[in-house]
Amino acid sequence: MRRSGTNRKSGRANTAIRAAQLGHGLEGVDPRQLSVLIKRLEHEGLSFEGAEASFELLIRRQATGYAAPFRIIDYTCLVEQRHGQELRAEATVKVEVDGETLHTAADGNGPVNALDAALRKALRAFYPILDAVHLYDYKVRILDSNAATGARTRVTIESADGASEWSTMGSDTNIIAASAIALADSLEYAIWKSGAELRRRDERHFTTITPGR
Amino acid sequence: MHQDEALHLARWTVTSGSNTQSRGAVVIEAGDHHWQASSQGNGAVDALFGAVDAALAEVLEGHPRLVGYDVHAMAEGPAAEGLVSVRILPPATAEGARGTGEYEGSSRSTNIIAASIEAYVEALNAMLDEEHWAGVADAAGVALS
Repeated sequence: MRRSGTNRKSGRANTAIRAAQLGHGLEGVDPRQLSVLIKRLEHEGLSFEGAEASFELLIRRQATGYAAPFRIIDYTCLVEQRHGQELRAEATVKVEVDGETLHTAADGNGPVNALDAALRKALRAFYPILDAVHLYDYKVRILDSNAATGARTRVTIESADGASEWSTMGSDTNIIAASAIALADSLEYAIWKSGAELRRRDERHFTTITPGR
Repeated sequence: MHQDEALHLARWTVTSGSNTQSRGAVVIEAGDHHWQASSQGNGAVDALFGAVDAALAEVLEGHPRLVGYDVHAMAEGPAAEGLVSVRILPPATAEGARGTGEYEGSSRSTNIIAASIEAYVEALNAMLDEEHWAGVADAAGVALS
C-alpha cells in the first residue's frame, strides 16, 4: 500500500522545503502567507509532524481556486450511561455539500466513532469514493497533561482506502472537537485526492435544500 | 472503606458540540447515599469532571485539584481501548492530613469519555479510602429515597 509522503522534519523548517518533501510544490499559493500561517499555528502549539494529509490540505486551502468539498455547519455528540444500561454514544451532524444541507445521526462505540459514522453517512450520499475509506487508527496525545482537562489535546487519525494511507490531526482543548477536525480532514483529503468527483446517489432521503440557494 | 461505601457512577450524561458549550450531569451513589449535579466545561471531559466536583462539593468540602490527565491507546484501530489516567490532589481547603497526598485512577474503554469519568471516580475513591477521610460520605450524604 502506498504511503503519502511522511514528514519527520522540524516544525520550524522552511515551508517550501516541507511542501516539496511531501511531493508537491506551492503552485497557486503565496509562500510568505503560508509561512506566516504555519508559524502562527505552531506558535499555538500545533504540529503537523506525522499528519502529512492535514499539512497538505493546509497548503491546498491557501491555493487560489480550491473549494472545500463540504462544510460542517454543526455537530453534537451525546454520551451517556443510564442506570443498568449499556453506554450510549450518539452524534448528529449538519453538513453542507454543493449547496444542500444534510442532517444525519448515528450511534457508535464512542463519540468519535459515532461522529465518524454520522459524517460519513451524509458525505457518502455525494461522494461514493468514501465507501472505500476507513479509519484504522486513532491516537490521542495530551500536550500539557499538567493543565489537566484544560490542556490542548492532539488527535491523530490514520486512514486508508485500499490503495494508500494518510494521516490527519486535530487539536483543541475539547477532545471531541479535536477528533472532529481530524475526521473532517481525513474525509476532505480522500475526496480531494480522488479528484473531488461529486455523484449524487438515491440515499439522499435525509437531505434538505439550503434556504436561499 | 467497604466496597459498598465506595463512590460509583449511577448514571451520567454529557453533550458536546461545535456551537455549544459542553454540559455534563452525574448521579453518584455510595452506600445509601446519592449526590447529583450538572456543570458546563470547555470540553466533554471538563464538563463531566466539573459535575462530579459539584456533586461532591459538600462531601469533600471543596474541589479536588486535577493535576494530571493522560490518554494512551492500548492498541491500534478505532475499536481499540484507550487507557485514561488521572492524578488528583485533595481540595486546597482540606486541612491537616486530609490536605496531603496525591491519588491516581485509571480506566480503559473504547469510549474515551467513559474511561475518563471512571478514572476520575477511581482517583476520588483512592483518596476517600484514606483513614483520615473515613465517614465523610455518610456525614454529607443525601439518603437514597
